[in-house]
Order: sequence, then structure tokens, then C-alpha cells
Amino acid sequence: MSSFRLEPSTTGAEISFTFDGKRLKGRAGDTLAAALLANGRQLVGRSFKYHRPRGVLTAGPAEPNALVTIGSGAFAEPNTRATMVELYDGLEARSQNCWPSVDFDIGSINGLLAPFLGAGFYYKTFMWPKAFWERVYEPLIRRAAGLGRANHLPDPRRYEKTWAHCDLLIVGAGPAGLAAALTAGRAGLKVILADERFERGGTMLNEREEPEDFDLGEVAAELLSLSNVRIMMRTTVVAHYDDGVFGAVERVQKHLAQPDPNRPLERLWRIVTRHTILATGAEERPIVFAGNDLPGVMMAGAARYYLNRRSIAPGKQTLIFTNGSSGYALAADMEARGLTVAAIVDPSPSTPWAGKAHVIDGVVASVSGGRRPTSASVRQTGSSETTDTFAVDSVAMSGGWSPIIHLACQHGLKPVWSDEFAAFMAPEQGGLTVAGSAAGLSSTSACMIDGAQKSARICADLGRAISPAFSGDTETSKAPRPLWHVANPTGKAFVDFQNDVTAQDLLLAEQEGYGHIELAKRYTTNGMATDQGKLSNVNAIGILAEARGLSPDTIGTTTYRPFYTPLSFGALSGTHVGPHFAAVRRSPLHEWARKNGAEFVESGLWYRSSWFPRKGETTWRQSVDREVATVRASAGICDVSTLGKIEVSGRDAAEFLNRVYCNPFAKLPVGKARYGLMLREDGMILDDGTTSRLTDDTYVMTTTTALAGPVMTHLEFCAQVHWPDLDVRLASVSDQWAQMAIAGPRSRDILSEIVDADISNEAFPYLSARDVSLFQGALKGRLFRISFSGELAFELAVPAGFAESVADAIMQIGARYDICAYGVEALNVLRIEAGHVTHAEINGTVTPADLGFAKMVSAVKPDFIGKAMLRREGLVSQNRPQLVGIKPVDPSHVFRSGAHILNKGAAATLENDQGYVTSSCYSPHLKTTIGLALVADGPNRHGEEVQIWNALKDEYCVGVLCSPAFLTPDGRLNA
Amino acid sequence: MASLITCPHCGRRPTQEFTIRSDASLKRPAPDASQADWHDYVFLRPNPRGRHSEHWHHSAGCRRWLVVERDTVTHEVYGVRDVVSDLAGGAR
Amino acid sequence: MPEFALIHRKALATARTGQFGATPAAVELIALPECGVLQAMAAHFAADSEATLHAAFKDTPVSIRRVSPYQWLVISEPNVQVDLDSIRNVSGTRITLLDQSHGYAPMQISGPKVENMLAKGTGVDLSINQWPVGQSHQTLVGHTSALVTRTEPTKFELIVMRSFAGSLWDELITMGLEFGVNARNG
Repeated sequence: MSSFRLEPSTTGAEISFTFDGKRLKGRAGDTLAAALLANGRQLVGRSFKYHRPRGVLTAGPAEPNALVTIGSGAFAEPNTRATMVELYDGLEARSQNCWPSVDFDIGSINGLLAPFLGAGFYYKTFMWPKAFWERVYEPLIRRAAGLGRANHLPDPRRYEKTWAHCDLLIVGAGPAGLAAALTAGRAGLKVILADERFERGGTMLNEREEPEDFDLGEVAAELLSLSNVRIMMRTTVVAHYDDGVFGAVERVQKHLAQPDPNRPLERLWRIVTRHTILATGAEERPIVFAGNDLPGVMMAGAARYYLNRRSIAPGKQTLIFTNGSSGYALAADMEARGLTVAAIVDPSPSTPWAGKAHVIDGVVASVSGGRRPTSASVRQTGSSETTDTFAVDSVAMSGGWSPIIHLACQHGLKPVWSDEFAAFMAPEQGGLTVAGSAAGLSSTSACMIDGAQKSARICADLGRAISPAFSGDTETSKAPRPLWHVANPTGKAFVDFQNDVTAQDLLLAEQEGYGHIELAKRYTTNGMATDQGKLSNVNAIGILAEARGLSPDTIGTTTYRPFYTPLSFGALSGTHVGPHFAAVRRSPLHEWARKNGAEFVESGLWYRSSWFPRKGETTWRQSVDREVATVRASAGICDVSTLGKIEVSGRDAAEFLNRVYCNPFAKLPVGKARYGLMLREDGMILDDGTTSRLTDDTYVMTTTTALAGPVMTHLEFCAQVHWPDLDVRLASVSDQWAQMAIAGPRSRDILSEIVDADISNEAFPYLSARDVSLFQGALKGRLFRISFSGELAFELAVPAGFAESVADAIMQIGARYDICAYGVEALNVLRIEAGHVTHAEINGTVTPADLGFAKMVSAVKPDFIGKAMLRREGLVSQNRPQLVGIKPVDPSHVFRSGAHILNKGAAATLENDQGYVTSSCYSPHLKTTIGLALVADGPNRHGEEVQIWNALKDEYCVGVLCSPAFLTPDGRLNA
Repeated sequence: MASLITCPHCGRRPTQEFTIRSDASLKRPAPDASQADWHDYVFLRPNPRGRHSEHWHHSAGCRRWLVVERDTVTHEVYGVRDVVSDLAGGAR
Repeated sequence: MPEFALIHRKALATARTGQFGATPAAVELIALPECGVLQAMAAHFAADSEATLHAAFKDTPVSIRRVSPYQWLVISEPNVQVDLDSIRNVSGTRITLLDQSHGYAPMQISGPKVENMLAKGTGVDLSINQWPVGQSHQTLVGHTSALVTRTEPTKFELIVMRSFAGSLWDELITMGLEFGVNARNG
């Protein structure tokens, strides 16, 4: 135990929480990390590879060590940074990656295996014997890998996504961001100010005192009073997309013990802005030395935050290792609170210092300890051996500052190395300005003046001149020479804390030829953990630069991509999960089907009635067999509203149809329907349907349900791109009309009672299509005499709002003819029995000839979509898979779609494959399973016995090829 | 990939409202053109690094086909116009 | 022959109604009475189609909502008689007029939080100086395309294809939960 809360503290009411089951106390305003430190909890987790004890390193989002799981059951969230968790009463937190406990973790044995777990170990170990990889090594590694355990339960919380528009987006509510927001807010610009933390102030939160010229309270009050300024705290801007669009995640309710169920837990913002200011600050860099990963070794700025903001002392004997002024500021803060600083160690001292602690010109060679530091060895400049040893219980380090520039680099522009700032700076680009310490400035004063001035310039550019909220000089001081690592470490010197990557690993990578920054990253896994290298990337570049005698500029950085920090899948999905994953479309007959007891099936976005169980029926087969039998014996009504209906009109409608179908349509008479095949440009069938000519220049095209959208888009492409001179107008009327199939020998009897006109065979022959009057003129509809089932059948279209009434009437009238409602399952059986194809056969690989429609293809039309490519020799070969029927020799045998066809006695090889079953069902009429298949030279092989082979389902039987029309269509249709 | 596209009829919209097809410079060959020409039109696509024009469909908006000229590397959009370029009409 | 009741069912007849989310509710969601909807289409090379369309309807009280320079929805109140024949005499073959009164379902959201709510569904800038009263946009709201018109400063009309109506309605309620929604059939 090193750290402790200083009393008296003004840090808020007491809060109770648990860590690893132990009840602890914190204060309102604490992060979980602060509360753990206040309780003297140095050890909070174990590292990924070596299971080394780890503690809190930072006070913000870059935290690599203090990863915990918050909550339990369906609410458990692994890999949460304790430094970003706002403490609330009753919070449950657990350490990760350790067993049985974080204090006594068996995994630490990995430390002994360290020589085998160096950089690139996975390329060198676990290779032999080969068989062991899949059965032994991989499962073991998989179980041992990872940090937290993923939660496999559905997430019960709500998430949401939204858009926002503004003139100026300011990322970061530190001095630069606040000053910029104030300036632009006063100018009347629409401003969004976003900060990932819950408190405004940025690095000002680390300070003991507020600067004289900046009253945070006053600034905040004025900003909050401006209605054109939106302040979003707890919001991380994670992505810079194109066109001034930024992605941000707002943690709306993660800090609340009792979230409001009407609000989301997290919200994903898409922010569209005209200009952006990155006031994102700078990340303090660790120093790489032996023992720098011990719990109790902390960043100096973080130590200042915990001390000044939360009254938590890092320890009783603290050593400060600093390259630059940050460590001195900490020393001053500590001494002001009566805490002991063992020494300040500085490799290039230049900061004025008048405090008690002794300043040593040198480096910390190593820190030793177990669960916390116990001693530190110091090597003065000029000496090659330890010159001083200190008994310590905590160490603070500061290697320098790296501007946080990620958002500026996500468009492929590379950051630029600056020797003056000893840092990578944001690349110049239009629409984006960097201000404050993200631009290399160091004092609070300079940052706020810089933010205000840059904001004023942007306001002027956008036509709203204003004086900057703050003015003065912005000093720039040269940064000290970087200290990338302390040479010749006597123990492990960590560069990437989360992935356990040491300086030695990077040097090994360089030695083995993987010194290129992108290779070194993958070879060592530096920067690949959940902290995405925030504390490790720059040090790694520096170490490689030094090893290769090059400038960091030459080494360069790895590619920056969204997201800046990890985000939840919940935030990315928003409300579109589960049943709301996609829009839902309901037929106008949906309620009618429901009240008739339908079981529904999802078909794309639609719900379609699948079958209509009656009392006593317990399986779907019972219902479907009955429906099929009823349709063939008397009559059935089926909802086919979901099929696409496109009205094609305009002077050149006929010519247009003639060009999109492979068969002739130019001379389709008024009042007639015709089956059409629409091809793709490569000659394969795109979709099939019937197109009817209702008046001289009005046609109605039907499409399949699945292709309604794509066909409409295809027609629009043809009309707008291929043939823009044609006068053709396309309108989707799929939702305007409900459409029902009334099929069976009694269908005409039933419909005659509704349709006012004569629908006898003579007056309304097969393939008639007309506007009709219904119910003695009370309603207008459209009647088509087409049949998918092979029976005498009609399709009746009525305006959607009246669909239910009409279907009810049909059921009422049909009752005395034994009518039944039937769904898509029965529809499918009926059409297979009749040998009609659907997208099971039209699967993107078949031409009209493959389905027996060769004669449909016009030889006379000069052009239609697909005509030219249909001529390809591979498409006219006799051995192409072509449509046949298939049934088992033994009627009790069953097969299913997807089964392959082989000649009798042939081995199941690719060369011997004859084709496959595309559709299958039980036929109650023929009392056997039947199917349609695509078989090589199929039409010439009727009567041949074959193997029906399905190793996936372990089903095999002998079948016989036959005509796809299992029922003779003649006599059924033209009655 | 651009996050917002300015449709000439509808104004600036998220790319999710559009369906992207392919190279807009391809012209459908004459029906009696050679098999080689047809094969190239149907199957071959250049994949240029740099400036390039594509057919985009504003499927969730005006349902017009557009030609979008953009740079595949920098994502800069040089222009968006209706496929029928001499049309009257335009954005508000 | 027995008489059959021909009842006109609204697309949103079975939509969820009542109070949802925060109280007091700050948003009103109304399933508007289904009205006359005509889809008007012009060939893309015909000049002045929009003017022709407006001229044809100058004596009929309708709202003409633009979907594209070549497509409009002409909305009339439920009790307004639209004399399609005489209008077609004026517009001739230049404009196709197609009855889609059953093909679309209209709904309306209103209240002080209406912009915050709609922003969850659409990327179009909803501020009144970018989207003034009277303007229409055919745009994605969530994952459904709708014709959205600002009819008053804090009131928007949404017209969507009938089959999508229930799904959009539910999505709007979800978008409004944090403000509180009063949903009803008007």
C-alpha cells in the first residue's frame, strides 16, 4: 500500500463500491481508479502476456493497465479503463486476466517462460509437431489469451445514433477548447464542444491553482448561457470521416447507478461541421526503464491530478524521474501538501527549482519491488554504474509530451516530426486547425490565447468577425532532448504496457529484419492492444530511430484509422438490433392472415403467411398437405401482395418492355398478360414475372418478392442511362394494390359473385388482364387470369385499404365451396408439382434455355438486355445443367434441396457431379417427395435412375429423372 | 469513401442513401458489336488509383442515377451530376 | 346476393397508440387520415413539367410535394374531390397521374423537440434556416425512405410507402422516448 487519501479533503460525499467482491469506499467525483488509489490499492490487474502485477498508470483514456470488468451477468463489460469509470454507489468492479485472484495469480508463471515469449514468438514456437497446433496449442493459447472475458448474453441496454450539424466542432474542453468555444459562441456560430471526460478543464484539472487570467467557472457559465453552443461532455470524438463528418460516442448514462430506461446508455453522433478545431491536448509519455511497469509507478501529470483534484497522495516516499518541467510541478504540488519527494532525477536539468527535493542530473536505471516499488537505482550522467539508491514506495515519470493528433491523421496524411517540439505534429489540411498543447504549446495561458485567436480567425473566414476571448503572446519553448529509453536495462523495460512489449523486443525486431515501423508493430505487437499505442507508439518510434541511427521522421508512424478509442457494438448498432435490425414490411392482408391463424415466415423485409393451421393440426406438414389438397380439390386464397408491381407508362412503354425482356412484348394486346423473362447483360435470368397491358399505354409488370427492388433499380438504370430518349415512366405500385391468388376448380364460381363482369372461359380466357368493377360497382380492381399452381386460377388486385374486406368476402362466399386460406409453403408445393420455377431455379447461373424456355428468346428483336452475351458458346452447350423433375424410386424415401445428382455407381467426385436438386417438397397428390433439379443434359435423360447424394445431411437414395411438370397442366388451366 | 454526397436534385445527403454501381465511362455496345467488346463491357473494370467516375443511384431519395467524379485515393469529389446532363432542374 | 361490408382500413389501423417514454410527453405523433395521393411523373426531357403540374391543379386545393424534378406527390384532403379527368385534360401526356391513395401512409410529428428527435433518423440539416417551412425532402429516416415535409416550424409530415408504415411508426416512437411521445390515430 503506497497511495492514500489526504485529509481533510473537499472531494464529495462518500460512495460505496466493490472491487473483487470487497466492499470499499470512495467519494463522489472519484473515478474508479482514484477510489482504488485512495484505498491504497496499487495492484489492480495482471498484464496480458507475463501476468505481471499492474497498477494505475494514468488519469485518463490512455490507461493501459487498470482494465477491469464492470457489472455482472448481462451487464458485464470487460476491458473497461478504471480511469474513465465515474464512481457511483453500488458499482461492482472486478480485476481481469488473473486466477485465482489478482494478488495471487497462477498466470505469473509466464514470467518464467519469458525467454520463449519474446517478439515474434508465435512465428517461432508452437510449430512442431504440426498436428499439435490444432489440438493442443491453439485451444490453450486461445484460453490463455485475452484480457477480460466477453459477455455472451444479449445486451439489455438501449443505444442510439443521431446526426448533428454545426459551423465549428471543437474537440477538447481544456483551456484552448474552452477559449475557442467562447470566442466562436460570442460570434454567433453554431458550436459543438466535445470532451471525453466528465469534467471540463483538460490539463487544468491537474493544476493546484487556476491561472490568474482564466476563471473556469465564469467561462463555463457564459458558454452554458449561449444557446448556439452545445457542450457535450463524456463524449469521445473517435473518427474523422470525409466531408467534415466526425463520429463521436457519448456515454449518456454509464455513470448512473439507475439509468433512465427512456434514454440510451450510449449515443453515437455523426457530426457534420464546416470547420474543426482540435484542442485535444498532449499525451504525457512514459520513460522506458527497467521496472517501469510496477504498480505505484505513475505518470507525473496523473499523480498531479490525483493529488490536486482528488487529494490522493502517490506515496510516502516518491521518486520523480522527469525529462522536462512536468516532474518539477508535481514536486512543488507534493511539497505544498507536506509530502516527501525522495529526489528529482532529470537527464537534462534546466527547469528552475527552489523546493526541498534534491535534483540529480541522471537517469533512473531501475526500480525494484513486487506489488509496489521498494527501491530505485539512479545513475548520474557521466557514470556507467549506479550512483544512488533510494528507498521509495512510489515513482512518478514524465518523458515529455506527444500532441494528440489522431483525428488529423485519419485521412492518410502523415504527421510531421518537429525537432523543436520533439514530437509528431498534425499535418496541415483544410477545414481543420490544431490549437493549444496539441499544437505544441505548454502553458495554460498560451493554450487559451492560441485557442481564442485561432477561433477568431475561423469566425472571420466564416463571415462573423469577433475579437478573441483572450489575447497575448503564445510562447513556445523548445522541448528537451528526448530520452526514448534508458540504455542497458537490467530488467524488463516496458514500452507497451498492455501487450507486455519491452525495449528489448523492439531491438530484437530490428535485429531480425523487422525494423520497419509497420513490421515492428506486428512483430512485437507494440501498439496493438486496446489502448492502441497511445503511450507506446512514439517511444517505439524513438527507440527504433535510435537503433537505426535515423530521425523519427524517417521511421515514421503506423497508419492512423478510426476509431481513436474502442467503442461498443451497441453504439455502432443503435436501435437497429434484433427485430429492428431492418425495416419491416407488412402486407395489407397481414391482419387478415393473422386473424385467420397464419404462421408467418420472414421473407426479406416482409412477413409472409406461411401456413394456416386449423384446430387439431399439430405439425406444419398437416396444414400444408391439407391446403395443397384443398386447392386442387376445390379452392384456396393466397396473399401474393408482396410481389413487386411496377406500372410502366409513357409513349415508349412497349418499346422499353421489348428491350428489357428477352421475349417479345411490342405487340402484347390490350387486356392480355404475358410471362416474361428479364435477363442480365451476361445472359443469365435476372427475374421472371408477368406483364399485362391494361390500356394502350399502361402496363403493369410483376416481379418476384425478392427482386422487386433490384428490378426497379435496373429498369431505372435502363431508362435513365441506356435509353434516355425513350418516354417511359416507372412507378412502384406494390403497396397501392393488395393482390390475392384465388386458385382451384371452384375459383371462378367464387369470383363470379364479386366481379361484376362475365369471367367465363370465353369472356375471360387464360392470360386475360383487365380493370374490373367489383361488388356492383362499389369497388374497382384488377383481375388477371394466370396460374402458378397449375389449377384454374385468378389473381385479384384491390386497393390495399379494402384488402381485408375483400378477402373476408371471398372466404364467406367460398365457404360453401370449401375454400381454404393457403400460405407460401402450400404455394411452393403447388408450383413444384406444376413444374414452375422460382428463384430456387433462377439462381443467377441459368439462361432461359437451361429452364426449357429457349423458344421464348426472341430471334427477331434487334436488341434486348442480355442478347449479345447469350450467344457465348458456353451458354449453348448441351451438357449444361438443365431443368428436370426428380423423384425417389422408393416413394418412402426423402431428399432435400441441395442434394447432388450422380450417375448410378459413380463415385462422389467433382468430375462426376451431374447437378443438384433446386427445390423439393412432399406432394400429397403423388404421395412422395418430388423435386426440381438442374442436371447436365437433363431434358434428354427422363427415365434415367440416378443417385441423390447429400453427405452434408448423410442422406442418400436412388431417384429417377422425369419431366418437371408432375401434373399435366392441360385440362386444369383452360376450363 | 465520401460520407456525404451532394445530389444535384436533393442536396447534401449521407452516402447510405445511395447505391453504388460501377464505372460510369462504360458505354453499352451496339447489339451487333463483337463478342470481345461485349465481354469487356460486362466483365472488365479498370480499378484506377486516382480520378474516376461512377454511377450512383439515389435510391432513398429522388431515384435518379448520377455520375459521381471522385478520387479513389483522396476521396475528393469533383462533381456530381444527373446522368442526363442537359436536363433542366436541379437542387434547391 | 348478400351484402358485403367494404371497410377501408388505414395502414396504421393497428399501430401502437398511447403515451410512451418520458412524461409529460413533448412530442405528438399522429397517424393522419389517409387522403388522396396522386403520383405525378414527367419524362425527364420535358421542360417546365413542374409549372404544367401546378397549372393543372390551380383550381384544386392540393399540396404538391416534390420528390425529384420529375416526380411529385399530389396530396388532397380526404373530402376533396379531385376531378382527375379535367386535370388530365390540362396536363395531357406530359404528366402521368397515378392514383396512389392506398400506396402511401401519412403521419405527423410535432412539438418543441421535433428536430432533436428527427435528427436521430436523418442526416439532412433540420434547422429552420436550412429546412424552411414548406420544403420537402425524400430521405432516409432510420432505415426507411420517407417524404418528409416541414409543414410548420415545429411540425413535420412524413409520407411513407404503406407496407413500411408500421415499422416507421415504431421507429419514431423509439426516437421520441426520451422526450415522451403521445401517439394517436387522427
